[in-house]
Amino acid sequence: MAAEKARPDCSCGPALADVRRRLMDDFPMLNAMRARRPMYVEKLVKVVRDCAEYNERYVMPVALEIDRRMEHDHDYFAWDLVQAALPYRLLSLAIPGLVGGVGGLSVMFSLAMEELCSACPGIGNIFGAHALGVSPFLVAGSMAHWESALRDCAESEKAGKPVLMAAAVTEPSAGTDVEEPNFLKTARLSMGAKKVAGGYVINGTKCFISNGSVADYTVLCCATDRDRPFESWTTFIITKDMEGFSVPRVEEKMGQRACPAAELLFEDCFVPDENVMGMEGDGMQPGTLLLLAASRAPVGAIATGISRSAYEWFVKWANRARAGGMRPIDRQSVQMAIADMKTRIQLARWAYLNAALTFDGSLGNVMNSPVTKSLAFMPRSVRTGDQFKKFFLSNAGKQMTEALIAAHTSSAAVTHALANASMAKAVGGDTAMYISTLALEMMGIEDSEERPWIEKAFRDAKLTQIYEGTNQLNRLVLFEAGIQKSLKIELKNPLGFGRKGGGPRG
Amino acid sequence: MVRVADDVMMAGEEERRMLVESVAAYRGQALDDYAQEMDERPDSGRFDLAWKKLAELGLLDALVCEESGGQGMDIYSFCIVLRELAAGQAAVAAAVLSQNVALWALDVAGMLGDAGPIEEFGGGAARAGIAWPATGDGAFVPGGTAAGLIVLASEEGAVMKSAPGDPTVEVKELDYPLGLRGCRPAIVKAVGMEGLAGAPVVSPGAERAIECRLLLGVTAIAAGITRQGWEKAAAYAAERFQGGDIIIKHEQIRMMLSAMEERLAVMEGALATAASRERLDVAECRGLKATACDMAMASAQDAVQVHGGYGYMRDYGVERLMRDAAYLRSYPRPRIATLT
Repeated sequence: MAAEKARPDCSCGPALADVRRRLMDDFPMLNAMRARRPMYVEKLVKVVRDCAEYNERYVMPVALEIDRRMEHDHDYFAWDLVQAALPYRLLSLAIPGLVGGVGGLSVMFSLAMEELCSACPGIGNIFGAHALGVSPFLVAGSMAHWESALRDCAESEKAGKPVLMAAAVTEPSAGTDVEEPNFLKTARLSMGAKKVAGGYVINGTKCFISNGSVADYTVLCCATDRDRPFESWTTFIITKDMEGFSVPRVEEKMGQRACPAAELLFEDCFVPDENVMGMEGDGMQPGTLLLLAASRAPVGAIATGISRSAYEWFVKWANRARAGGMRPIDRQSVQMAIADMKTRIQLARWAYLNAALTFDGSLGNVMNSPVTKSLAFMPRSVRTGDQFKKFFLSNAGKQMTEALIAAHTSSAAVTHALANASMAKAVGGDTAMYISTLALEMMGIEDSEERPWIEKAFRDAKLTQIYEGTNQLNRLVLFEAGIQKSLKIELKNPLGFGRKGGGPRG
Repeated sequence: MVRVADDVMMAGEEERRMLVESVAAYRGQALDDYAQEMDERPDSGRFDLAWKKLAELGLLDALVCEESGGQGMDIYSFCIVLRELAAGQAAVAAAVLSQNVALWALDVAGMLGDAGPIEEFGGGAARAGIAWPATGDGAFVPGGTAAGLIVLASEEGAVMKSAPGDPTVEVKELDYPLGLRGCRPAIVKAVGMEGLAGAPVVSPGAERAIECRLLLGVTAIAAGITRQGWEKAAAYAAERFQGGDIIIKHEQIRMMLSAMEERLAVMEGALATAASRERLDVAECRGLKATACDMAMASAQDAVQVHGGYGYMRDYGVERLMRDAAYLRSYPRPRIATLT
């Protein structure tokens, strides 16, 4: 409630009715859904409207300035913008209502990402990378982890203090390799965790970690046996104050600068057993695969936001009269280009919504299951009590969580979600690059209000073809997960529970 | 270096071969290492040092005929020089192109002597740039911010010159440019003048010569960017281990690298043909430039992609190729403007 009261009372941002109309026009699937689930769709409209207001009020006035500043000042982070976002609950969009979050799943988060990134994908991705850090808790974390980290994040947000999260997967010598099960088997890893009494000792480096330098909680994946990386890939929760954990470097990026990409260094960093998420060895399958099924649709949405930004600034430019009184938009070639851009944006949009709906219809069922919801009726003192925590952190507790997931979804559903998510990510990234490049070429080089925004979109867009798995990898995943199936070649048990394909137990 | 030798064998002139090799050696020794610094901090002074060295090499008045005191280099040789420079730092090559075409245009218009001794712009390293086509919307001029002499030329072939402080010409440094940053580009506008009214027109038949030289020069720079992207990507792919092997053994990566190499071969062949003609063909030059810039952009994007996350980081100097290629596509003017 404190956050609700702190929310700015202003006339900024578009009217709810305008946003509703725009969303229903852009997303016919949502319009169709409205008849069956009017309250849910209205909640989506409000979230998008909030993002638009946040953009207009806070982001647009400073986005270019922050981008330029962070070209050289790598230690700067726009905490004031994160602070300003707290009343909008952008940090807890993906956190379940059970632990104080908004409880949005992939559809809600993807719509929010498109809206946020249509203003500044660097700032938008602060929330995107944060949600990427939240996602492993949803797909692999125990109730005890939800009650500690996720509740901390949601409650702190309400109290006016930002708590950020990050996910650390990429290593200096292994990028694509740590995002795909077959590649992981032959990866040359530089990081490893060694089992010791009461926990693990981690040594090594992660790189290009979005939010890595500012996160309070970082979800880290690494091997406990570097000779058997696939079988021993394990997920850990790292807190920023852990001894032996440091951030030696923030990268100098071409774009999306407002969201820092950091190198994380671990030197004999002790992580207690209770910070292991899921079981040892489940980090890739199901861990990372589920994470990517959850996160690639929002990345498609980030890219679509960038496309939209380039498109909207280009249309504005084209509408303005040049020397001699002519407007570029009066020319047929410009009209054709604008129509082409609009078409591609819509296709990318539908691809990410389709992927998000697929995810919400598979793993999302777990969040909405009666068993999960019934936990809300349990007194909080019980849920956060030692006995409860001890049970959920035990093998039996973790296996119960896995059973719950397995009961509400299936390997086939997860495979389908991963295929659609990979498709959405690849098409979104390619669209963003195409549109920003075309807009730049048609506009030319001139001293105009629109030029810096379109050039920024061009710089920002390229990253969407690279992170969350390069588009090449996403196409390979799509082939394996979405096309081979039609050739009667099934993906091997991506859910991996029961140690059939995932971990070393069995 | 092999490519330089091949080009020169086609041209068949020892003197040209030595010149080009000296440029390639200069690039390797002095340009490659500072290319990133010039881009990140255009005012660091590194560009000025490079410019002085280019003056010593005789590249700042290369296109001006010997009778007028220049080096008298033919356009094809000049393009090879630009390609060599662009394989190190495209912004430097673009500024060299702008300066040379500016001085050449003045020479053709019979106004070179009015601008001062040619030695100042050649060995003296004074800076010049050309605004073409000079319109009310402004023209993009690489190196224009620090240029003491701006030559404005219209599509109709009218030429005039301007020095800093001239009220009829507005020179504005481009704010936070995306590409070609190292040379501090400017937007130059002719203020209150329609079609450079009153300015002398260059000799009949030569009205497209300025455009052709700019287009061929941009093509050469595009080839340099493509080459740089290809070399960097191939070197990285031969070292980076992923998917059980070095990535150059992955078919998709090989296809990307092959495409870069093929584009480069096509560009260089077409450039040699177009630039060696006795009479330059403007339609050919326009088509060549547009195609070459598309190819350079595709190659630069592929080079970044081959590098993965590292390509997006500035340390590797690959993302710069994308940004520079983006500006080349709109220089000397956006493609849409050629449709009028």
